[in-house]
Formats: sequence, C-alpha cells, structure tokens
Amino acid sequence: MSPTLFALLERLHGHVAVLGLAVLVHPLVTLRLRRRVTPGTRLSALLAAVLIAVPTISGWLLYPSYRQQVKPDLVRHAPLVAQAFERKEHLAFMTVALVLSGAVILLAGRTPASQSGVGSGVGSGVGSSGARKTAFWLLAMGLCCGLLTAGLGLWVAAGAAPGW
Amino acid sequence: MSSTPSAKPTETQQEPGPGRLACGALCFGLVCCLSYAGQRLWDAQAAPPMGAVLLQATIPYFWRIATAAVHGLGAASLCVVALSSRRVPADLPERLLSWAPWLVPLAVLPAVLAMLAVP
Repeated sequence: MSPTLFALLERLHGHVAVLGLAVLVHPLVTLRLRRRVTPGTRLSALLAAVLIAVPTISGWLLYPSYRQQVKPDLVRHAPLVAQAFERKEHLAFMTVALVLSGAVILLAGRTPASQSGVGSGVGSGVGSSGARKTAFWLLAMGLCCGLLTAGLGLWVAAGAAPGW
Repeated sequence: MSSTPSAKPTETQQEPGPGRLACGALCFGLVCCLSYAGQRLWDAQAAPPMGAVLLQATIPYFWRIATAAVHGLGAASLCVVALSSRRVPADLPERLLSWAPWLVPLAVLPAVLAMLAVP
C-alpha cells in the first residue's frame, strides 16, 4: 500500500468511525425516551452499524501495512502509543460486535403484524420491552467501547503521525 | 380442544420470531466479546515481545477476530435453533431477554477492562 493511500484510508477510517458513533446516539436516545421503535430509530441504528463496520473493514486493510511500516518505530520510540493501538483494536472489535447485534435486533423486529398496519405499523415486533432493552444495552455498551476506541485512536494518531 | 383454531393463537405464534432472533443476536454480541477477550488473554500468557511480531507468518489479530466471529455465529445459531423447539415455552425468549439489562454489562465490562489491562 502506498503511503498516500495509507494516509488517506487512515484519515477516512477515523472520521467515519467518529461519525458512526455520533449517529449511534440517536437510536439510544429514542429507545430510551419513546415507547415504540420508530422507523427513524431503525434507520439510524442501521446507519450507525454501517458507519462503524466500514471503518472496521478499512482498518483491517490498513493493519498489515501498519504492522510493517509503522509499528516497529512505534514500539521502539513510543511503546505506550503502540500498546494504545493494540487496546484500540481489541475494543474496536467489541464495538462492532455489539453495535451489529443491537442493530440486528431492531431491524429483525419488523413483524408481519407491524407491516399490516397494526399498531400504526411501527415497532410491534421490537415492541416487546425485552427486545428493546436488549438492543438498548447492546448499543449502549457498543457506544462505551466505541468512545474508548475513539479516544485511544486519537492518541495513536497524534503519536504516530505528528505531521512534520 | 386443540382442534379449534382461532385468530389469537395465530397472532401469538408470530411473536416468538423476533424474540428468538433477538436472543440469537444477544448471544452473538456477547460470545464475540467474551471469545475475543478469552483468546487475547490466553495468547498473553506466552506473548512474544512486541518487536518480534513481524517474524510471525500469520497475523494473530485476524485469527482472533475470525475465531470470535465463528464462535459468535455458532452460539447464535444454536440459540435460535434451541429456542425454535416446540418444547420450549413461547415466552422463554422474552424471559431471557429481560435479563439483558444486567447480563450485557456483566459480560462486556470485564472483557473491556481485561482488554484495557492486557494490550
């Protein structure tokens, strides 16, 4: 991978991930405040899952080059930053798993009953409080892991690429 | 008495679908996290120095992710299949899901703390 492509992907990786975390706040708030799961909640959960999955995939593409080109110097000159990177990778995988699970619960809740107009056609499937709470807690823990990941990512980006 | 079908049983039969899927998704999320953390902790027992990682032919991070995903998918499949059995009460998925508010933090937080402690 060329250095330019690496730098471009690395910046996109971080920015899209933070955008995904911002979008993730919407389903969390609406799941907490509203009794029904609205189509907007489902849409934002889906969008958040996609926006978090895409940078994860780009991170997988970046990882081999990082390992070859960046990691040796980091380990030598800034071992704390190198460890922060490893922590970030662990938490990122947990974030993706939790957010995908929560989004699947919300998206799988569209029952035939909800589509036929019963209950205003909104959220009868996830209307069960158990499924809604489960989705909320999975997304909430995903957001916690994601915020930790983002913080560590900022530290690593600042330490690994000072820009001069 | 079972030969008198009415509209209500049909409606109740539709309900467990999303509940089963929700249980499967819950299983997937939790098992992925726990499996990943468990593998990392296991690897950390005999971890080489960080500088020696480049000598490895495979990337352990990718292996851990793939293995955790397989574990999660397997657990989710088993969960959905088990809850699809006719012997299982129809309200069991809902009862299982009612444990989520304490089960999810209880499973995820230790894994997160372990991953922060063991980079």
